Order: sequence, then C-alpha cells, then structure tokens
Amino acid sequence: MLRYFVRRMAFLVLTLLGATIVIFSMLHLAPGDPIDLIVGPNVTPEVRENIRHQYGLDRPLAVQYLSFMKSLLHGDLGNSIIQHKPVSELIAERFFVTLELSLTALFISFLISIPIGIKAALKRNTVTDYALMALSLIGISMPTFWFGLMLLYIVAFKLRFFPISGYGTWRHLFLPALTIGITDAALLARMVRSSMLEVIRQDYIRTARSKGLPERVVINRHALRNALIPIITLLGLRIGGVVGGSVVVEIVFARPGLGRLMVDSILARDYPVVQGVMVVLTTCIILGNLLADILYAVVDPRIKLK
Amino acid sequence: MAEGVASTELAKSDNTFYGLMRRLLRSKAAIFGLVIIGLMFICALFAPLIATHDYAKQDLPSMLQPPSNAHLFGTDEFGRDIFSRVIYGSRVSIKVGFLAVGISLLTGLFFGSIAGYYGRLLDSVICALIDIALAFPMTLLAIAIIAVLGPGLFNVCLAIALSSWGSFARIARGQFLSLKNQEFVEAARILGYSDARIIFRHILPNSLAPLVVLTTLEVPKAIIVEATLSFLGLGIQPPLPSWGSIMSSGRSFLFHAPWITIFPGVMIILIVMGFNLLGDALRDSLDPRLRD
Repeated sequence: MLRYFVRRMAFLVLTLLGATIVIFSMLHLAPGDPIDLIVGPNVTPEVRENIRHQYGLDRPLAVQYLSFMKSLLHGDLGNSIIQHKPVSELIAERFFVTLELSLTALFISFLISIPIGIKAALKRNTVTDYALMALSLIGISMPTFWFGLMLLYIVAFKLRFFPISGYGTWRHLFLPALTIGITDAALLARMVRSSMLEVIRQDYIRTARSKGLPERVVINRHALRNALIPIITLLGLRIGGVVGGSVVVEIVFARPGLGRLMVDSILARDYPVVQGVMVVLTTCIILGNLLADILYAVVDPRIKLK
Repeated sequence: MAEGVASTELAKSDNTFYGLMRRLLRSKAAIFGLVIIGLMFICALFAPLIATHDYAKQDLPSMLQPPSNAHLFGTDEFGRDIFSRVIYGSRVSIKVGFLAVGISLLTGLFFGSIAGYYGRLLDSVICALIDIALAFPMTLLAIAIIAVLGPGLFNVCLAIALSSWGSFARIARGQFLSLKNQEFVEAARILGYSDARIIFRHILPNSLAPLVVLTTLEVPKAIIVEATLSFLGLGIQPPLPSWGSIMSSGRSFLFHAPWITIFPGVMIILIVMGFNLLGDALRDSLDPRLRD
C-alpha cells in the first residue's frame, strides 16, 4: 500500500509540474507582445524595454518559469493587467462559487446515475434498459450550456420555480447544478451499467445464485458492493468534466465564478488571470483524481499488489 | 459450404473490413446513426438549395418573429432566417468535427506509434506527455488554447485537436506495443525491411480498427466543444453562422425569442447522437464481447 501511495504521489508531482509547464509556456509563447497590453503601442522603445525589464520579460523563458513556480509555491500568481489586483485575490473571491457548483453537480450526477445504471444492468435487454439508455444517449448528445438555457427558459422563466440568475441561496445554485448533474449523469449511467454488468458475469455471482440465495441478496450483498468499487474511479474521472461544465454553465446562469473570470479575462487578454485560473482548476482536478485513486485503493484491498 | 468455413473462422475473430461492415449493418442503431449523419451531410452539401433565405440578409421589419410558414424556425434580432442559418451552420460543425479530429488522429498516431514501436526512454517521455494532456478536461484546455491563438475556425480546430490527441496516442501506443512482437512483424524484420516500411505497411493497417471507433466517438465531442467555444464568443465569429454562435446571440433574447436558441441545439443533439450511435455500434461489431 505504501509503495502504491509513494508512486502515486510521484506521479502527482510530475503531472502538476507538467501541467504548469504547459500552461505557462502556452501563454508565454502566445503571438503578440505582452508589453502592448500593458502600455499600448504609442510609447518609446526605451520605455518598452524598461517595462520589459521590470516585469522580467527579458529573461529566458526557463528562468521566467522558475520564478513563476517560486511565486506560485508562495501562493503568488502575479497581478492582473486589467484590474491591477493580485490574481490570487481575484481567484479567492470566486473559488468557492465554482467549488460549490461543481461539488453539488457531482453529487446530483451520482444520485441520478447510480440507480439508473444499476437498474438498466439488472433489466438488461428489456424495454426498461432500452428506454433508460436512450435517455442517456440524448443526455450525452446535449451541449451542457444548451440544456442550461432550456432549463432557464422553462423552469425559471415560464414556471418561475427558481430565480433566473444571480448567486447566494440554494435556489440560485439548484438549476446550474442540475444542468451539469443531469448531463454528466447521462454519461455516468452508462459507465455504471457496464461496471454492474461486469460484476454480474463473475463466477462468485453464479456461485451465490447456485447456492440458492434469493436474487435480492445476490444483487444487494454480492453484486452491488463490488460494482461500487470501480464507480469510485469514475468519480475521479468525472471531476474534470464537471469542473469544465461549471465553467461554461456559470456563464449561462451569470454566476460570479472562476469560469466567468476566465472567459472575461480571455476576452480582455488578461493573460496572468487566465494562467492563474487554469493553474488553480487543473490542480483541483489532479488532486481530485488523486483522492479518488486513494479511495479506490482503500476500498479495494486487491489494488495493493499493483 | 463456404458459409461453414466462414463461421468457424468467425468464431475466432473476423475483423476484416468486410466482416466488420456486415456486422455493423446488422445493427439498427448503426443504420439510424448513419441516416442522421447522411442527412446532415446533405444539409451541409446542398445548403444553398435547402435554405429558404439568404442566411446573412437582414430584414429588420420581420425581426424576432416566431416560427411560421415564411420562417420555419423564426427570425433573429436582425430579421435573419434561423432555418437558413441553421442549415448553413451544419457546414461549420461538420468541417470542424472532421478537421479537428483529423489533426488529433494524426498527432496521436504519430506520438503513439513512436512510443509503442521504439519503447524505452522515448516511450516513457511520450507517456508522461499523454498523461499530462489527458489531465486537462477537453473544454477547459480548448478554451485556454483559444485564449492564446485567438478565435476563428482553424484555431478552433487546432484547439480541439491539441486537447484531444492524447486519447488517440494512448490507443495507438497500445496497438503498436501489442503488434510489434507478432510473428508477421518479426517476419518483416527478418526480411530486412526498414522501420518505416514495417510501421506503415505492416503494423499501421492492423492497428486502425480501434482508432476508427475512437474517431467516430471523438467527432461528436469536437462538435460540442466547437459549439461551446462559439457560444462563449471564443469560436466561430459572425457573420459565419455556427450553431454555437447562433445560440450565443440567441441567449440575449432567450425569454422573448427562444426559437433562436432551441433549433441549433436540436441540430447538435441530432448530429452528435448520430455519431454516438454509429461509434457504439462500430465498437460492438469490432469486439462482440463488449456488447451488452
């Protein structure tokens, strides 16, 4: 177990390092001179060089990366070019908004998909199964933001069950979370179904059946428990998708989260903010995956050997 | 008699192109998927004939009209015909879907085959790259890449390809890894063929099947990411109608003219569903053991 954790942590450090290198070099190799964004085109070359020096942009890229990483480890993500505030401050103001949405969505997704996936697997190749999987197919094929707009129109505008936009209470949270939750559940339900089918085919299920256990006991005590193990891995896999969905759905429901911040910053070409948001979101996703992997290893003793 | 021989062969594995197609066409889902995709292609190819209006022509007196006989899907804030815009929008989605996934496939194949075939340090390095690439969620990475490249059709394709090549590379690597030690590759090596010849003529054709399945399943993802980028204002720029950009402008009028947003979304669901149906059926017919 310990060896597994050590290897897993080493891999984590490697991915985090790689991800920051990708994000950093991507935004620094971008065409166009960042100085233009800070001062505009109508300044003398001397002034430009001064500013370049002041921001450290005249140093080699590798050196810039190292100093970026050094500040990053101190929680310093640089300053916004447009808003003249520390990026970390801008992110801190909005982090919870996105976290709350992502976690609620993930919860809804599991709440919907696990019973649906299991039901479909148990009723394999019946009308129930086909109907559930057809629904799931439609769910997978919908763009998340479009589904959000439809919920907004029908549930919030026509039926007036929920506020149209804004942030604060659970009533503001519900529709965006439901949007991501349902679209994600569509994908997850298929995975749960095949994971459950995998288990049903195992020898120990046949054994349980042949020794005369009632079907209910076979399913609840033998199949379900084992099927839940790979579902934990799916939790890790879905974190990225849910966070990506949150970024887009925040725009639809006008929630002041990291997604809003990122898209606004891209349109304003405020690269330090884009970079900061990407680093924070990617780190969260990678850490989330780690958490799911560890949980998996804890729940399933067979993983130790890997 | 030939049938009898064929069936014993089939029991082992009949992954020839012909056998694959025969099993594929037995699936109703695949046919349904193909029909939807076919209809979308017809829309894209014959857009000028199908469209009832000029997609860019403004007609302010008839702005924001609900669907009617004159305007099947209604009109937008400039009085432009949504039906015609949606029909033309299919061109963008199909173009982006195939171009993006094409670039992604080639990139993934390049890195994956090198990693699988040569192994060792090169393999470790490329595997680390793949892991890093797959650590980002596709939409998020595509948004970040657009931040650098700027919007536009080709940049959107590039952004999607750069955020999805990892899955292709992983599959290609696995295929090359398992095929390179097979007897027919061994034989080719003994005959003294060059690495390039072995890779392109012997291993590549045998590794294509799972890549074709992945391609079919990645095209719809690319279409959705394009729509998402365009919806956020980071993708296809006006006046070119893309389903995402139509919805982006429709969003401001959602409560008074929901049709601007509804119809492009329905089109996306249809085409994405078509590809998903086909992809799933392809995967099943490739490996019947996976079918449930």
